[in-house]
Amino acid sequence: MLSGSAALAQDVSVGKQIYSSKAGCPFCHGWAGDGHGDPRSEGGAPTLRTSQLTRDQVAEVIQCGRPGTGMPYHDRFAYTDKRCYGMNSEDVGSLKPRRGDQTLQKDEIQAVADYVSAKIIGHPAVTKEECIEYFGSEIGECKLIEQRKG
Amino acid sequence: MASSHRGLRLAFATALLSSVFTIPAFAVDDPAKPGAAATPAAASGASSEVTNERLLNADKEPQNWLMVHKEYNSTRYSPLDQINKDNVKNLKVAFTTAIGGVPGGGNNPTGGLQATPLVNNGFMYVVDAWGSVYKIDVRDGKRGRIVWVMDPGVNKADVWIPSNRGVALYKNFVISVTGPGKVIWTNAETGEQVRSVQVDDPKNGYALTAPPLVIGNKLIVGGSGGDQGARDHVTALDADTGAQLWRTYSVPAPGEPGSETWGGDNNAWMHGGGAFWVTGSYDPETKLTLWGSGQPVPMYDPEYRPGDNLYTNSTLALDTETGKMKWYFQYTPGDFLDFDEVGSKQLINAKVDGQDRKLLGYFGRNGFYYVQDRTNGQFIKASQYVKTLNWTDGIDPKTGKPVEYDPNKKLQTYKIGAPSRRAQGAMTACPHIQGGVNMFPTSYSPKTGLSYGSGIEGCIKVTAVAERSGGKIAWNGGLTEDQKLGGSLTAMDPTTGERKAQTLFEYPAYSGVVSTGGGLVFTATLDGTITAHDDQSLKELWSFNVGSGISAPPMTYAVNGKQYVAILVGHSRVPKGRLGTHPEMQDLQTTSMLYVFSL
Repeated sequence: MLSGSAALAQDVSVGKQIYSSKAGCPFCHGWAGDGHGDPRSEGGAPTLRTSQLTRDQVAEVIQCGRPGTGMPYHDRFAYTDKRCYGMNSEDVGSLKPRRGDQTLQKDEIQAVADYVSAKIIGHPAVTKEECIEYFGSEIGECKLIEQRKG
Repeated sequence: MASSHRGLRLAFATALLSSVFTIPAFAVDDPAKPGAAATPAAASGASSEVTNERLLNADKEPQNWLMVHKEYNSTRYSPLDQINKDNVKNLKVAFTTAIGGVPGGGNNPTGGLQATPLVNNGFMYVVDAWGSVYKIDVRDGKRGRIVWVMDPGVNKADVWIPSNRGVALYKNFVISVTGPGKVIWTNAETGEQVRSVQVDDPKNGYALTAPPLVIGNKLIVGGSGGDQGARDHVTALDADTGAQLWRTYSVPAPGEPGSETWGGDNNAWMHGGGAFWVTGSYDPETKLTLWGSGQPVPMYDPEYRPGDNLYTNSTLALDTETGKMKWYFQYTPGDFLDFDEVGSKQLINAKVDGQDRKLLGYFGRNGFYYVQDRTNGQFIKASQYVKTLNWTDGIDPKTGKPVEYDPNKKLQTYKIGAPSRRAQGAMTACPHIQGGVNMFPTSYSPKTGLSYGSGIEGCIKVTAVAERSGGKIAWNGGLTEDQKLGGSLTAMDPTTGERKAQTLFEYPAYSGVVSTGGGLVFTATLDGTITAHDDQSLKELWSFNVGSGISAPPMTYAVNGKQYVAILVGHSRVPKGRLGTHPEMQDLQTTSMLYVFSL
């Protein structure tokens, strides 16, 4: 049995794995969640680092997307019933967000929300140390961080 | 463009002759040392050594495909005719081969394939998204056995775009590029990496995705990475040593001709884009190499970079020996719709108005098919090839510029833009920012006298956002929202500008085209359907669905007298995004496969 803090660390690492690979979040939000994703990404993803969202709100946005914006939903059954913002497809109409390329199970959504809340939200500045931790070594991207600040 | 204005522009081009930079290559890494370089031709069979003579006469080897666009003229026409209009209905899978490179890295969830396979006497060379090169033995026609893999060992997180459009063959080397900006020489016989050159510094956004063009003893290398703020260039390397011979930037530095077209206080020229991410053409008669440049950066926010932004969105004709610009032609000045004009430049000899002309035929990403004199860039004709186009009322038949273009304006509006794009909010533009015909290679058949291009049909909402300019959050200057996208295959007559035939597809064509002596045109769509069409009517004669996205062009070759059609299958996130308005395709999965077809 893991202690509470160890269990939380494990959850965050699972969430990081899903954030960085399966869910494809960095394509739009950037690996650091600062909005510096691929220039060809569609939705103009904002920085998450200064977001005021609570952890549960983050989970809801991952599950249901943000109607009327480029943020996709990741619950395969979103808008098939009223689980998202109390709206089904008919209710949300033309504002229905797109679906993410990969959908996530409930526990995966919670894990990503844990990761985003613990490591991204509330940390306005992206640091080289954080980059090295994320990628496991000082890749070229980490060397750009100071340059981007300037 | 008025003739006097043209004269002014040509004067700029002439003045630029003295402003071309020549600086040393960034770094040369030669672990094998000269003595350990390529296996001698004798060991590999002299007939497989790729000489200049063979490249200049690539049309004499219809069984092979020796450079990315097949010949220097970039027409991608194969005279092979064993597979023809009558029997193409019997085309079937001969074999498939799994290629690596599906797992993603950095900001990219997966890899994807965009390369044209090369074939040299029964051996095929392909490259995956991350720069790994594969030599495949396709001699027996029953299997594709991987002979070797050269994995350059790049960190995927340093590859900003998982796209790699092919390799080049030179002597007994396979020449490839990596996303972080290296050119690599690999022994074609053994797969051993024998030399690499870091062409420019990736921390400035520089990247490589297009195979070099081998001309004589030079490698002409077009830079990528414009979308992430590179100031891009065409660089010539010594093909034997990797030493830099010349470099020509697409974006002039302050004081250089054209620099006055980069206004504002942001030093936008320093990260102005103008990338050359599709391999150019070469005209042995004029010794000019023709390359298309990408869009200015940030792509949606012209207020960051007021002006025409020379020499982005242009064709540049460079002297092969010196890199000096002999002429240029800019298609969409002061662009705000991401209209990179990098696509393949077809060199066509044909009669126009009864006169023999040396033409440049080009499917612009902006939705128009352009015909120019390739010796001097003179505009001849342009006509719309996409079905839906709204950003301009047309191209001025005298100047070749959009009819709304005003050279006195710092901010062009064309038909749909406001003087302040930032204040305008969302605007619907057609064609889509990715075309039309994007980097998807096109074809010209001397048999029909027609140019063929396949691409995207549809529109997109574009919003300029100043906060997304300048690279602190992003380099794109805005955001977009696709409307429902389809695709098309179009045949244009370069002598009249007439659209002779068009076939529409349910899904975007994100592939390219090859035309053949069998009277066929092959292409593919993003849902994974490969199609063969009659080269006159474009009526579909055959199709096969592979169940995964296709973002690479088809090609054809022959071994032991038998013709094959080959294509790489597997999409990355950017092409998949073009299916986002097709809910039925949401669960399309990517792969990384070579498919080869035969009768």
